[in-house]
Order: sequence, then C-alpha cells, then structure tokens
Amino acid sequence: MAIIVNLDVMLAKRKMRSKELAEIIDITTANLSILKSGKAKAVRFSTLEAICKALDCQPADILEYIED
Amino acid sequence: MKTKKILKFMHILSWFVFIGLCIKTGGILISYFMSITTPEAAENLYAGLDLSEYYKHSFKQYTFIVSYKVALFATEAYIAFLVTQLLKALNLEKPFNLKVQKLMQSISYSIFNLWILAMIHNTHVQFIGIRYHYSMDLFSSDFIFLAGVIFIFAQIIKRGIEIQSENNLTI
Repeated sequence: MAIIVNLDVMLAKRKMRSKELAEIIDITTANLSILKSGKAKAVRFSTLEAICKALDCQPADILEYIED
Repeated sequence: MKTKKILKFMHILSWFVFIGLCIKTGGILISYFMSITTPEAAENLYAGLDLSEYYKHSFKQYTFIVSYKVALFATEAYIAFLVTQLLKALNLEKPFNLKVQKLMQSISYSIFNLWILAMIHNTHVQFIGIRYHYSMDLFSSDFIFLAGVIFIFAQIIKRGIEIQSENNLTI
C-alpha cells in the first residue's frame, strides 16, 4: 500500500499508548491495530478527525505517501 | 426468525433428497450387476425403470444407457450434497462469506455438467429410439438456465464479499 500510517511515531511523541488512543477515539484496539499495521483499506474522515484531535496533530503527521 | 425456520427445514429436506438420490444411484448400479446374470433384472432396475428393450437388443447399448443414468443420478446426488453444505454454511448475520460463494459456484458448475450429461444421454437414446423404434425416456435438459441463474447469484455474492471485506477494513 502506498499510503503509510505513522501512528506509532505520533503516539511516541505524545507519550500515549494505543489502548488509550483507541478509548479516546472510540474504536476497538483491533481496528487501531489494523490501521497501524497498514492493513486498512480506507479511513473515515470522522476517524481521522478524532485521531488528529486526540494527538493534537495534522493529517500529514500521520499519513505519508510513498510510491510503490 | 421465520426465515431461519424455513432454512432449517430446507436443510433437513436436502439431506433426505441427498440420501434418496444415493439410494437410487446405488439401486440402479446393483440391479445392473444383477442383470448380467439375470436378464429379468433389466425389467425393473429401480422403481419401474425398464431397460429390457436395450438389453435384448445389445448389452453394450444397455450398459451405455445404464451408465448415463448412474452418472446423471450421481451428479444429482452430488448437487444435493452441495446444497446441504450450503445451507449448513449459511449464516444470515453474515451471509457473504467465501465458503458460500465457492459452494454456489460449485453447484452452478455441477448443474452445467448435469446438462451436458443429459444432452449426451438424450442424443444417444433418441438415436437408438428412432433407429430401432424403442420407447424414449428422455432426461429434462432445462438445467442450463438454472446453472446460469445460480452462476449469476454466485458472482453477486462474490462482489458482496469484496464490498463487505472492504467495509470491514474501513476504520
């Protein structure tokens, strides 16, 4: 997948655990794990908004495009 | 709830159909082997199936006709078995799964094979029937339409699985 999700980097910067973030944005840890591992096919804007709000960052801080 | 009951009933019914077809196929096969030494057995192979005309004319032709019948009923039994597996695998909460799609595809291919066997059987029986003035007991050959319809349903289910999978991986 050409879109990379750099959630681990932001979680480390904000010193937050995955489980904590999952609770704040109201998704399961399994779904968050799918997102982090790059297996997700799509992300809803509402989820992206919730993540950016919880981590106080921009979408560009979490999503990166690398050509295959 | 009503749908679940209907599907449960159909599941039990499909098992009866499968067992019945297995008994029919086995019965014809056993009667055929008996008819090798006892020609009278050809007069009633199973439930009144009378192929004595072919037996008296030519044992080779008789064997061909019996082979077609066994192959046709065995294929029907296999289709009935696939239907039992389909009804077992069907989950109304998550109906779009790979197993259901593969079973539907297998059923459509088997019905197509049944149609081909029926066409070969009917062509051979008609050929002998016209040539030697025998009675013609033809197999219904309308299966191609059913095979096509089920194949279309299988493709729809396949697309449904793709959409469901994408939906599941949308966070």
